[in-house]
Amino acid sequence: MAIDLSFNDTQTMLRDSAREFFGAKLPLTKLRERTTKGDFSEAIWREMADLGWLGMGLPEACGGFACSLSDFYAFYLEMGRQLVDVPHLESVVVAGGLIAAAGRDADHATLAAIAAGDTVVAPALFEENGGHCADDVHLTIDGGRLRGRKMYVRFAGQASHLLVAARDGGRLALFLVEATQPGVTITSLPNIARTPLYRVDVDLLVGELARIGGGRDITAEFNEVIARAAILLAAEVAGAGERILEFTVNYAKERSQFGVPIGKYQAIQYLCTDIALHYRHTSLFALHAASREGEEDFLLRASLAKAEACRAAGAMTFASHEVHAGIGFMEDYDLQLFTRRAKLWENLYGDRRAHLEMIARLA
Amino acid sequence: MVDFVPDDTAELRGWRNEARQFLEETIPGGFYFDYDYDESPERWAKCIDFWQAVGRKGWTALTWPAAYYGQGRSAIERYILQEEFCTYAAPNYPVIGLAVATALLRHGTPEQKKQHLKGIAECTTLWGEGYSEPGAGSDLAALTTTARRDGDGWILNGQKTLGTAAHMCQWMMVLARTEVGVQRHAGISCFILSLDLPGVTLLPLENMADGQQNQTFFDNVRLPADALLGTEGQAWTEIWFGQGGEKLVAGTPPDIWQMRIERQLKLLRGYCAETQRHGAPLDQDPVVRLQLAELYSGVELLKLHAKENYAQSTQLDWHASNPVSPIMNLGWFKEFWPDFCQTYMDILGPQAMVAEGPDALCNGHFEHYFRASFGNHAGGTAQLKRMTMATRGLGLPR
Repeated sequence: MAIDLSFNDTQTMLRDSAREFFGAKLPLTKLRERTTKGDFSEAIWREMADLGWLGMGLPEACGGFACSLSDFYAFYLEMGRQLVDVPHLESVVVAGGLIAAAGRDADHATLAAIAAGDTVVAPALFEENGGHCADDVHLTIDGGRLRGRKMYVRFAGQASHLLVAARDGGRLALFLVEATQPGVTITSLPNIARTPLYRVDVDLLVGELARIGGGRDITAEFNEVIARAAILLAAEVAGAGERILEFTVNYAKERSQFGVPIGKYQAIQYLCTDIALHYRHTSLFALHAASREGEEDFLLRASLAKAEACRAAGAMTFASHEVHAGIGFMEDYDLQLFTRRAKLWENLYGDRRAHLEMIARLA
Repeated sequence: MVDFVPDDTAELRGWRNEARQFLEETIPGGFYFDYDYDESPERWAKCIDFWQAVGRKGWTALTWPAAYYGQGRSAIERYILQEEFCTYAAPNYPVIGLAVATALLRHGTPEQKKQHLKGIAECTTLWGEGYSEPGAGSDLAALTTTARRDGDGWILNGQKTLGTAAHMCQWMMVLARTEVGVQRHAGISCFILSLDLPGVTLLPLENMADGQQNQTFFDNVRLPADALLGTEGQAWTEIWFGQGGEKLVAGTPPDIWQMRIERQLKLLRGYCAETQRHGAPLDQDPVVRLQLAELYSGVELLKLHAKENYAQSTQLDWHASNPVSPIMNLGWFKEFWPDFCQTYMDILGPQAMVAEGPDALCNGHFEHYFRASFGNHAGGTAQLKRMTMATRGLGLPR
């Protein structure tokens, strides 16, 4: 069937079961209780492993199952809708994806442990300016030492391992490092999104580290995996957008001023349609990008999706605040949770400016 | 199953090639012509020649039933054909004949279909529109043109305005009130009439992008009984939603008029690559790069909208179903277009002011297309689309 934007059975099932599970286990009300660890807990992680979700896209031999990026998209819509804050993107999609793409057979044990939920890997890839591609990795091995700083490492404080990216003689290399080993210092970064975010300082001898994939350059694989992550963040923004639209429209129907529901005023109607447009455009770009996995224009499509998502995340929460006014500014109200998370989405794996530059380069 | 590729079989790819080959033979290199902003008789003639050639292939009526000059082909074939027309810079079908055909196919009598569809399919009869009036634009239901029963037929009186290219047309589709004093949307009927009838007068309205629209006056115009299209008093639901909701017709193809913008972007990118400014190519300027990326992103979105509209009209649902998304998409284009043009005027600088002569950029295309972008409100304003989105799409109170 040519041109069809509807989900297949797998995608519908993934979306529905994620909505049910996260809705029951991690409702938004619980989000206010979370402070330093996000939603991560042994119990949740174990349940997600039992549901098979930690093996998404990983090799079958390692306990994983084949999962197209469109399948992931359906799942991440719900993660965004529910503002789920667990290291799925980090450990399964990015670390798992990088190890699967760049690793050798010897690395399969790590993948099996990720899929089983026994190992949680936090990718420590980028530095003070953030990043979205291999060019943004600057930390360089010097005199056999891996020494320097990685920034904005999500879930480093909860992870058992870190996957550190560095330049080795100009080539990109990945090292799997135990989070608790001497020479690794993890410092919390209190942040607007209240997500577990960390600064990671390393001072390690390369000879003693597990290098993923031997000595070959893995730039292409690296960029593909980060592009996948960027698309899935866009899917989260789309899922969140759907929810922001719902509660904003409901508020505009229920709230009365000057004797009529404020949603009758065109000023309010414009704000609501802004949210609708941003949400639909983000989902359209992200869904399209997901369908281009493995195609020549994949990186360009990923940048189009993430650039749109970055703009949408800010614009949708802004418009919703304009509709809600005072009540939306209150900590008790759900909107602030989305506004906070929006800033993470806008910055993780490339901000709007970085992706627009990629578009200018690739288009 | 998520799929954005229209030609996913060898047969459909072959069809795309056939369409492309036809275009290469008929209008080598493409033929840039927008009837809304062009009064050149030579180019008008070339546009009509082109659509007559399309008609001879049977492609204008591709999806119509065989009984009415059509080929009964699939919506996706029509989509692919029109995608090729967009990419190859074919001219748009002149004026509103295709919308009239949709209304005729749905609501016409067998005699009306026999009489009119052939001329539309072959592009031998051009149709203009008689919708807007001086006092009824966005609020079309406020129209006051009347058609009063007279024996078997009707007497038409009133004034229509903003009739795009009506002076080039032989026939017109007109909305008129057949019953006064009833609820606004009731009592409106649709008529099809020859512009040669006594009592019809046109007065030109020149638009700011070199095109001509028209005032159309009806002074006791005597219409035959078969001028009524559809049910008396039901035009609002039968015809207007068939028009305003025209985008909801199964297999909505990409819009040639909208996709003109992609050509402008190609010209712009070419210009920025070959032009030195402050000692470096313009497309190396970091601000210009971001602006070009934003424009590119908008054009790509427009292409995705075409696919979304197609999916919406054939499957009527994708995961977050929204029946007004085609209207949202049209409304978004109406806002994007002038914004697109303003951005390129910012990038191009003073030379973009020059309209003609050796100093004009790309023969003045940029200057002209900027002026044309204020024609974005044809078919309903962006603001009206926003209101429709808010009330019909989001359920906000009217």
